Formats: sequence, C-alpha cells, structure tokens
Amino acid sequence: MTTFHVRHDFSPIVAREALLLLRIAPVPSERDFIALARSHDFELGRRQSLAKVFASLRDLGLINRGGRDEPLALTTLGQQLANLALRDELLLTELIHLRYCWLWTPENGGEGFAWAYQTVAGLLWDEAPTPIDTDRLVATIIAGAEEQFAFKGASFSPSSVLGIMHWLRALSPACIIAGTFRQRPACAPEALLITLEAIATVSGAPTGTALRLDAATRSRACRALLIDGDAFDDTLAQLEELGSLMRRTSDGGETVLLLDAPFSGLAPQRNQR
Amino acid sequence: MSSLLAIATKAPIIPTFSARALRDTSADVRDSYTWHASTYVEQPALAELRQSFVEAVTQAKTPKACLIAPFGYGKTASAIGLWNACAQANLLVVPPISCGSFTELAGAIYGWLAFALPDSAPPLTEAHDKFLVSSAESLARHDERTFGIPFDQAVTAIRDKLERGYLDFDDVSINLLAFLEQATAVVQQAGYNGLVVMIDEFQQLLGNANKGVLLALRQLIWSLRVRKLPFGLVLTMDPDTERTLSDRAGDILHRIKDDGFYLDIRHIYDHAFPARLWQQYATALDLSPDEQHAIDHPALEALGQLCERDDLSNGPRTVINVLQRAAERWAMEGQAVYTPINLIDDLLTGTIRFDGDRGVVPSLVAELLNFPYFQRSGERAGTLKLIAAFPRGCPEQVAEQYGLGQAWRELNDDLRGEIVTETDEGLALIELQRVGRPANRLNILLRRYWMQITDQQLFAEEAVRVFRDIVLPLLFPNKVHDLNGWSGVDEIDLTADNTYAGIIEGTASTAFPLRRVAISVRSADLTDEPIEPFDDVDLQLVFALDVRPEAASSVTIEANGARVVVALAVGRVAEQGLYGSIGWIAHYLSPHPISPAVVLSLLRYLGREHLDNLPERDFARIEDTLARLREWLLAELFPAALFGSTSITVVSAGAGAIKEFFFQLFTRRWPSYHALVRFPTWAAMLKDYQQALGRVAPLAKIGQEPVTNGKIQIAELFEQKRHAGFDSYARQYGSLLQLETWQGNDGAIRLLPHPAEIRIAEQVRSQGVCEEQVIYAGLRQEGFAAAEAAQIISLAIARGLLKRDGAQITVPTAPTALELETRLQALSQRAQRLGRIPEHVSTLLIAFNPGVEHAAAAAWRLDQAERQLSKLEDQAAAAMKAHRESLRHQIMQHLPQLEQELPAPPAGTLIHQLTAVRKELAQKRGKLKDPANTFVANPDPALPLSTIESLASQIETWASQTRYYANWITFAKDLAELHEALGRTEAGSSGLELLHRQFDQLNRQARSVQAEIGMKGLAEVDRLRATLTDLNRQFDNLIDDRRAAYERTAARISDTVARLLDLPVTLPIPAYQPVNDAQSYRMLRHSIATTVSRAVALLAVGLVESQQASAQEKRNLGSLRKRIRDVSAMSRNPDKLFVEPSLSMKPDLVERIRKLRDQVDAHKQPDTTPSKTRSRLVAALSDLPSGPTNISSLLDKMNGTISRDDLLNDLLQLHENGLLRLIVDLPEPGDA
Repeated sequence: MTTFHVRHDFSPIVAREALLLLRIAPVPSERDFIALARSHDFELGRRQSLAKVFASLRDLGLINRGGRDEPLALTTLGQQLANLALRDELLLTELIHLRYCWLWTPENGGEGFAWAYQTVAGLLWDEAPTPIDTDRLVATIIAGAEEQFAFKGASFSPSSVLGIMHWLRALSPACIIAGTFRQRPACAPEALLITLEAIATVSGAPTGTALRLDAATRSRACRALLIDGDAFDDTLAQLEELGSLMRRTSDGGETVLLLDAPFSGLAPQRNQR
Repeated sequence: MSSLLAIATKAPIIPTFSARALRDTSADVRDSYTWHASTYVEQPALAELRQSFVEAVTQAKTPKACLIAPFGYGKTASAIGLWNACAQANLLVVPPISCGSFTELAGAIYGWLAFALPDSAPPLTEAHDKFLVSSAESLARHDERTFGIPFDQAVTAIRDKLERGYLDFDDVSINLLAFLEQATAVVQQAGYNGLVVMIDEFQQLLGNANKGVLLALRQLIWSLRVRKLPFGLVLTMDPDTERTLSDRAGDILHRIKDDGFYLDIRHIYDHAFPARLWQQYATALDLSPDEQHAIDHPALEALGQLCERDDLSNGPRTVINVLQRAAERWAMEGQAVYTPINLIDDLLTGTIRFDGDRGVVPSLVAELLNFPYFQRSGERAGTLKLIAAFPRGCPEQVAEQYGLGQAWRELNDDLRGEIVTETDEGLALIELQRVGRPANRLNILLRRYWMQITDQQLFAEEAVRVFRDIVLPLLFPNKVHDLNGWSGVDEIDLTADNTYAGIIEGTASTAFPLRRVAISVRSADLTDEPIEPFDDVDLQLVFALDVRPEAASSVTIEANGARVVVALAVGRVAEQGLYGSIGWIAHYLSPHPISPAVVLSLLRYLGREHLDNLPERDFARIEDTLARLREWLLAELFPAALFGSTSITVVSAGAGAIKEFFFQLFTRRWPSYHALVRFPTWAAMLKDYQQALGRVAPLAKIGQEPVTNGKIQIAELFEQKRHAGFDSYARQYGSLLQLETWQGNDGAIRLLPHPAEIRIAEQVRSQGVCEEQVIYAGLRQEGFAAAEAAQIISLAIARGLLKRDGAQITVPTAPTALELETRLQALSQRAQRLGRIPEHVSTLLIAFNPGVEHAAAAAWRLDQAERQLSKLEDQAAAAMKAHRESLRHQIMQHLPQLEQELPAPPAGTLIHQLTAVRKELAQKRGKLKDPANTFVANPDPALPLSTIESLASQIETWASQTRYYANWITFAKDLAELHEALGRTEAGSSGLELLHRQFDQLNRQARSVQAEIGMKGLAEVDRLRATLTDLNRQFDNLIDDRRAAYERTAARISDTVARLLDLPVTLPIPAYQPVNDAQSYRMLRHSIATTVSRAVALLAVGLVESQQASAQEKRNLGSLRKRIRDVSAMSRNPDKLFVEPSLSMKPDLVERIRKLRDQVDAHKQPDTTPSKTRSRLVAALSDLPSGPTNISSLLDKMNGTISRDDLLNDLLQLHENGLLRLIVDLPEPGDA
C-alpha cells in the first residue's frame, strides 16, 4: 500500500495511444517512444516526459516492470487491451475502469490507488444523482484511508480526483452529465461478465459453480459498473442471448452459471481460461 | 337478407327524443324505442342495477339511478333497455328524453302519461296545470313585491314562459315534485306498480349549471330523498357533466350515489359482448342459420377484445359499427363471411369509423405493413392483421383456421420480443399491450430495422449519399476553431456526374493547419472520370465505394501525394462480424452477413428515428449504441492495414487512422514546412502584429534592431491595453517575436521574419519582379495553407522586404541587411556541407558591413561565392553518385550467395558449434536479402549514403563469414575422419599414442574457438587447418604401427568369435591395406560378421526333431530355430555386431549367442556324427566365401577328417534343414 493517488497524467486518450504504439513492437526507450509518438502525431508525443504514463501502465499491469535498460513491452493483458484499443475504444475505457476497480478488493486487499478509485466511484454511485464535489471526495478518501488502513495523511488530492474523473467521464453511456453523477442505463455485456466472474472469485465460489444473484451481488456489480438495476437486468439478458451465461431461477432465487471469461487477467478469475 | 340489411342500416348512435317530441309523437317514440330494445343486449352489471332499481321503485324507496359514460358507450341504449325492462315489471316508464328545463320535463311526463293512460287524462291535466299555475303564481307574487307588477299580468306572462321552458327557478322543483307525487298516484291508480322517469343527456337540463338550476335540482333531489314514493328517476350523463356537478354541487351527486344505482358503463362491456349482441340480433331479427354466420366466431372474439379497450375502440358503438359492416358485407358481397382480417382492413380503410378516436390499431398496422418484411409476404401481412385484431392474443389455432399457421409461427420466431409478444391467449402486438410492453426502445428499433432490411442492392443505390451523411462527418468533425475541426462538410453535394463532391477546410493535425481538401464520394463502378472541384486545394481525396461482397479496400497515393484514392469495399463481409459490446446486435441482423454497408444502413435507419421524445434511459442507451456502431464502422472501413500499401505506417484504425495517414502524408510531402498558424486566434494576432510592424523603424521591422521602449508602449504596439501578461502573449508568436528583455518598466522585443518571407524576398530579387500569384503558388507548394501563404506575402510587404505594384511584387533596389545576412548563412551552410573548400571561396563568405561595403557590392560578392559553391557541389554530387554505384555493384555481387541456403554441418565433435554459426548466418542472410535486392533493383537516390554503406558493409561481412563457415565445414569433415581412424586404431605404439594426444589437442582448440570466440573466430579455421593437415600426414606415415594395430585387433576379435562359437582359432583375416586404413577395417568387420552369422546359423544343424516329440516340444524346437535365424541375420550386419570404434562385439549380442548355444545343447538329440567332425564342418562352412562353393574345395578344407560320403550326408541333412542349399549344376559342353 504505497499511494492512493490516481495519476491525472494518465487519461483514456494517452492510454489508448500508448497501447497502440506498443502493440506493434516493444520500444527500446522512453526517448524512442516519444519519437515514435511524434511520428504518428500522437498526443503522447507532445509531452516532455512519459514517466508517469508508463508508471500508470505498469501499475495496471499493462506493461512489464522491466529494468531501466529493458525495452518497454506489453504484458499479456496489455496485449489483449491493445488489440481492443484498435477497434473498440469505448470498451477499452470501460475495461480500464474495471481494472482500476478490481485491483483492490475487501477480501484480498490490493493497490491503494485502486481502493481510492473504487471508493470515489462507489460513493458517487451510492449517492446518485449527485453533483461532483471534489473537495468532499478528497476529504472522504483521506478519512477513509485512515479508517480502513490506519494511514494518516494519505496522498490524495483534487488532481487524484481528476485522474479518476478522466475515466468516469469517458464511460459510455455517460455517468457524468452536466457536472452531476448518475447511474448509467447500460454497460457493455463483457464488462458485466467480467464483474460477475470477479465477484464469484473473491466470494470463494468454486470454479464451474453458479453465482447467486442475491441483492448484495447485484448491488456490488452495479456499483462496480456504475449502472442501475434495470441496466443490470438488460445486460444480463443480452449475455444470456449471447450464450455467455446461463440463468436459473428457483425457489432459492436466481443464479447464473458463467460460460465465458473474456480478458483473462483483468479482474479476479477462478480459472484462467 | 332483409334482416341483415336491417342491421346494416341500424344507426350506431340512437338519437334521444326531446320532451316536445315525446309529447307530440308519443307513438313514434314508443315504436322506435321498442325496436331498439328488441336488439338490446343487457350487460350483467346493468341487469343487476335494473333488478335492484325495479325493486326499490316497487318498494316506494324513491330511487335515483345514474348512468355515466362518454358518447358512444350506449347510455341511451342502456336507458332504452332499462325502460323496456321496467315496463316488463309493470312500471309505467317515461322513455329516455332530453329536456332543457324542469317545466319541459313536467310537460313531457304529462304528455307520455296522457298517451299511456288516456283514461286518466283529467287528473293528470289538473296536476300539470297546478304545477304550471303554482309555479307562475309563486313567481308573480315575487314580481309584485319587488317590482310592483300587477299580479294578473305577471301570472299570464310567466305561465307562457314556463310552458315554453324559458324559466326555471327554485320554486319550480318544489312544484315539480308535487306534480310527480300526483302523477305517481295516478299511475298507481291505473294499476301500475310505480312510475319511472328517465332523463337522458342530463347535461341538457343542467345547461350552464347556474345557480338557479343547481338550486332547483338540489331541492328536487333532496326532496325525493325524504319521499316514500313508488317513483324512480333515471339520469344519464357524460363524464364532463359529472365532473361539473361534482365541482359545483357535490352534495347533489352524493345524494344520487347514496341510493346505490350509480354506474359508470365505460367498463361494463366485456369481450363476450359482441357475440351476445350478435346472438340477440339473430334472435330479434330471426336470422337464418346461414345469416348467423355472416360474421365468424374469431371476428366476434376479436371485436370483443377491441371493444373492452376504450383506447382502441369506442366501445359498443364500434361493436355495432362492425356488426353493421359484417351484415352489409354478407348482404352486398355474396354472403362473404366477415373475419378478423376484414375487421382490420375496414379499420385501415376507415370503413369502420369508430376506431377509438385515436386510431391506434389502424395506424400501427399501417406502419408495420409498410415494412418490406410484410410487403414481401401476403401471408405475413394477413397474419399481422389477424394478430392486430386480438389485443389479448391471437391463438395459433385461429391462424391455422385461415391457413396462416406457418406465417403465425414465423412472426413468433422473428418478431417476438420487439413487435409481438406471446400472451396466455396467443400472439399479440406489443404496442397494443397496456402492461408488459418492453421498455427497451432500442431493441424495438433494431427489430423494425430488421423488418425493413431487404438486400445489399437496395442500399447500394444510396451508398454514396449515406456515406456522405454518416461517415464524412465522423472523419471530418465540425469546426471548433481554426486548429480543430472542419468546415464545409455539409456542403458536399450531389454533382451532375453523380458524385458527391465539395471542398472542406480544416485541421486534422496542428502541424498542418487549415488544409483545403477536395472530397469526392462516388461509386466504384463509375466509368467516367468525374469533374471535381479542386481549385487551390492541398489534397484531393476520393472515396470510391464498392458494394460488391468480393471487392477489396485499398488506398492509392497519386500525383506525388496530392491525390489519394480510397477504395472502400463497403459490401465486404466483416471477418469478425460485430464484436465486443455490440456483438449482441448481430442477432437482430441475422441472417444478413455483417458488412459496413449493413451497419451504414442500420445507422441511417436509426438516424431517421426521432429520439428526442424518448425517455432519458432509452435515449442514452441508443446514443451509446450508435456511438459504438459508428466506431465499429470506422474501424472496419479504415483498419490500420488498409494503408500498408502506401508505405505509411499507421497504428490506429478509423478516424484516428485517417489522421495519422494525413499527418505522415503531409510530412512526407512538405518535409521542411513549419506552420505559421499555431494558435486558434492567429488571424487577430497577426493583424496586431502587422499593425506593430507599421509602427516601428525599418531595421526593427526585419529584426536587425530590437524595439526598445516602456512595457506599456510595447504592449500598445500590439493593441494590448495592459502589459501584464504580454510575455505570455508574445510567446504565442513563436519565432516571429522574441522577447529580449522584460524587466521593471522597460522591455525590448525583436520582430523577426518568418523564413518563408526571406525566401520569397530572395526569389523576387533573383527574378526582379514576380506575379503575386506565382509567389503564392510557390508557398502553397512548400506546404503553406492558402491563408498562411497570403499572410506570409502580406507580412513580407509590411516588413518592407517586398513591394506590391499592382498584381506584381518587386523588391527594394538594394537588398536589405537582413537578406544579405540570411543569404550568407545559407551559403555558409552549403560550404560547411561540402567540407574543405578552396580559400578563394571561403574569402568570399564574410559578413556584410554597411560601413565598409555597399549592399550591391556585397550581393555581387555573394553571387560569386554561390557560383563557386555550385561548381563544388556538382563535383561532390558526381563523386557521390560514383560511390553509390560502386556500393551497388559490390552488393550485387553477393546477391546469388544471399539466395543460397547454407550447407549443414557434418556429424562430429563440432556439430553443435557449427549449427549455431549456421543459424546466425541464416538470420543475417534473411535480414540482408530483401534490402539488398530492393536496392540493387531500384537504387533509391533518396536513400542516405550511410544506409547504403552500412548495408554493403554488413553484406561484405556476412559473405566473408559464410566463406569461413564453408571452410569450417570441410575442416570438420576431415577432423571427423581422422577422429574415426584414430578411434578404431588400437594404441600400441608411441607414434600412435602421440598422434592421439595431438588430435585431442586440435579438437579442443577447434571447439574452444567456436565456443568462446564464435563468429569473430571463424577466421581461425585456416590456422587449425594447417595442424590437421600435419596430423593426417603423420597418420599416413605410421604404416607399420597401423598394420600392427590392425592385426592385434583382428586377432582379438577372432579369438573372441572362436571361443564364443567353438570354432577353430584360425579364422580367415583380410590383409591390411596401408593406403586405405578405413577399407581394411571395413573388410575385417565384414569377414568376421559373415563367419559369426554362418556359425550361428549352423547351430541348428544338430536340432533334429524326434518322432516321439510332444506338440509342446515341437513348438519349442521351432521357436529355437527361429531365434537362431534371427540372431544369424542380425550378426550378418557389422553395424549390429560391433561396438564402434573399438571393434569389439556388442555384449548383448554375445550374450544372446551364448544363450542360444545353451538352448541348442539342451535340445540336441544324440548325434551319430562325432562332434569334433561336426565342429570342423561348421568352421569350414563358416569360412566359405560368398556365393556357391564347390564341394571338393570344402572337402579339401576338411583336410581328410571326414569321408566324402559322410560329408555328402551331412550336407544333405543341412540342406533338408534349410541351413544351406545344395545346387546341381550341369555344365555346358566343353565347360566341365
């Protein structure tokens, strides 16, 4: 648990550009990377230093944590997301949002910045519709860090909130409209599938067993995806239609058997398929 | 037929008779109402009310009943039904009437009673007169008191008004009540159980509900409450009147409701009503059995389902309208049965007028029928109508009844969920459901799209326009400011040559602002070259759309980058289909293969929908999906690989790919261009700059001197009112404005020309005079945008570098100091690039000093310098060309070698090291081959010399290493041969032992060279080769040592074989050949192997099968013989017999032979032949050469130890056992 700061230098556009460039081949050094970015007229090429961008990519497990002299290269997860960046920018944003959310869980702990990210997003979801009050969010995180981790003076500032807002604002359908956070009326089916698998994993459900869709599970999924209950049901129906899961309803309630697990390594998974 | 016509002509609206009509034409009223009553179907709720009401009247409870419904819900019909029913209960009922006043009401009652009870006319007349008189007198007294009008006059006048219904006042109702009491008494006296009065359309009586009317009504109702009369009052009113009454006189309404006969009849019509009504018609009109089938049962059921819904029908009025239509159809169209489909058809054509006022069903069905899905199939269209007729659900059996079962199932499969829904009763249209309608509008839109999608061809006709409408705005988003977005996209219009064309202006990359791009969108099969507008544009961009599924997309750059043709295979099926978050949509497009054309078509369809009125949730979801579809479309149309053929590498897809492509294309086309427009407000800022130029001294204009002044004054030069922040402002000008000092109150700036200004000044100076248009075109060629080019000329003029003379541009007589300085810098750079230059040239390249030299003289000096430099540059260029050609030849020589595969290393101690070398050389070869071929075939002059030199050097190194590698291969082969020779030669002499050691040392050296030095040590092979040659020579010279070693080896192996097989020790040994050591050993191996093989085979000689042997014993013997044959065959192969290189027998084979011998011994039968003799025979046979042998020579070998007969016997036995073959050979004459 080192930092709670979510870097504001890392935004959807630079993340996408970095993934697209690294998708072609590893790049020997930062200088070469900047030159490459400039040759493609990328936003990244207009920056003096990309250290923070690379740090964020490493924190998210998208590029290797190699030594100083080793070339910058994508991890397996990074490669998957880079391929996605080429054709589905909106889903890429949603998946990086999920990546931030699932790098910390109450069950297994994890990265401080991920805790801060999901706490801010979750707080907004809890109170939706609610205006974005940066100062209040900062105060909540600092107080929460002390309560949760006995960590006084957590490194979290308005720029950290900005780092989170980059991603929340880029989600589609939008959850921030005219400065007000609202629960979303839809999400990508893959995002819900990943989320349900992650919930099943951290809650200890054995591989191949069904996940009970009780109120707590539904709420946790909606909170992670920032969607409302109807969106959950709609998307669940889509997944069923796509054959990605099987729904069963009995006296004991509704359960789902997940038949697909896309984007291996993005969020907790019971079985790396 | 006539009965049905009666139904057909029956008006759906029953008119209510007025009070006057009731009085004047009582019999007509009665007949009319009686006819209606005969076809009236009483609803259960009304029957209940009627029964209780009659009882209440009979029991003198003075009940008040009220029926509420809008127009068309059968209030009048219900009242007539009630009238008829009450009459059946021996009540005298005044039929439903509409009246405008209480007086009118009293007159109507009087009139009807007089008609119904002619014998009771006197008391009735008396009572009515009393009512009139009392009412008139009461009012006349009031007038007398208040206005002094004589009573008699007032009475006469008031009575007249009362009789004509012009007056109502509070006392009237009291008098009316008295009249009703008397009338009831008269009715009772006439033998009736009571009197009932029915006021239809009560709103007529209520009028504008003024105070007087309400007071009178209140008195009447309240008074009736306290009376105990066998009198009943029935009112009908519409909901508006009910509301008015409720608002203004709620107490009256409550008193009416108190009696419990208050009914809103809007909801009393159940779905069985039409069937019951039709049955009532059949009975009342005595329809024949055939006529009764004029409308079928499903149609009656469908009508019932419609009439119970006030949003889909006008209730009973619709029912009657439909039944009339059914009757008419039967009567007029040859007894055609009316079906639910006819019902919907009549709604669609408006034949049925009462469609619920809003026409929900016809408008929905009409909309759906417009979809090609229904237009393609009459069955589907019929089924749609059938389903529409049943809001509760159309069962499959009903569809089957009309031969539409298959279409019913198709609709169920294709449209369920979005257009139709499955209810308990069957299939129904979702839009007609009150509850359970899906909230998801997007899914409905997608399904509707699916219903209208036809084929690619349909889209192809509009592909170009749709591409213009949808794709172009995505590629070229609207202009935000000069450095962001595009203008003119919406002006790309259809041209006479059937393309969409126009010029857009905007910025894809801030490095190349304000580009003018001529866009043309056309069909790929357009044969004529279209006429496109390309006036003063930076780029012509053509999108050629090909809708054929087999087409392929491509990008072609033409006219040196000034024209790009993007051929787009919009009809090509997408390999991955719809993926990711929109993958689920594919389900809605099935079975159409997903292509950009289909998605374009879908986007077009969705774009036509009016989404603004949708709920926020649906709107957001649809917008999100649209965004994802657009992203998919662009990624599919413009994948990164599309640009591969242009040698421009892009890493994005979609709009990003286009941006990247433009950037790199422009960079390649205008490599030295640097934008003048660097900020969104450039136009205003450069205007300020030009104003500043106009306010400073000439030398300051060209940057030769700084502008020094107070900060305020400097800011004012640029029209800036405040100097705070001027430094930030100045930075936006980039190289045009330098802030030299900015401290305290003072500042100093320098206004510097753009490099392009200097260039055009030099151009004009060299030509003397120039057309402005020529200069402009030159700047455009360099990459400046149209606005930039104009601005640069303008700045150069403002600076004094150029002068405008009409349409021509000139320069000042002598060059400015700045021009001279710039020119000197350029020449110095050229000199620097040349390296060493002669002194006479370098002396010309000195700075201009206006104090000692005239500007014209300095210009002349620089002209001289330039001429010299040009000559030197030409020489350098020629030398460079020769050098490049030489490199090309050098590379070309190695091309054949680069095409060949490298030989594989031989087996031996160096194989691993040489394999690694070979792999590395192969990799290098792979990298060098293509660049070498490319360069040799097409020596690109733009390729930097350093690149060529590097390539040549690498190829040379590779070739050298390859040669050495070949030498290593030879060396390794020779080394392996010597290694093998030494390995088989048993040491036994000092010479051989020394050779062994020397060999081991050489072998180690060779391996260490490869292992430790690798590729760099390849040249070491020459040194090692010499040592190996020496060792081979030594080996050749050691003839005696080698022979001795050979013989030792032969003796050892002979001894081993003899002992093993019990053979004589004198086995034949081939002689040693000193010149061919290897061959000697090969022969030795072969000889020994033959001997062993034969000896083993002859082991079977002694195995004679006993006649008493059991089957098991016979099998064992057979098995043993087989094993002997196997081992014999194996032994015949030296490679299987010997262990290399020591030439000793393989232990496992030795062991097998030994075991065989033991087993043979165990099976051996008593042999009459002495064993010794047999052993000799075996030895002799073993020693025989290959091929046939004369028996006499064998006898000689036996050396008299066996007689001729015994030998022949033995041989014959061996022959019979298959161990040898005896051949009888008859010689040719003379050949014996």
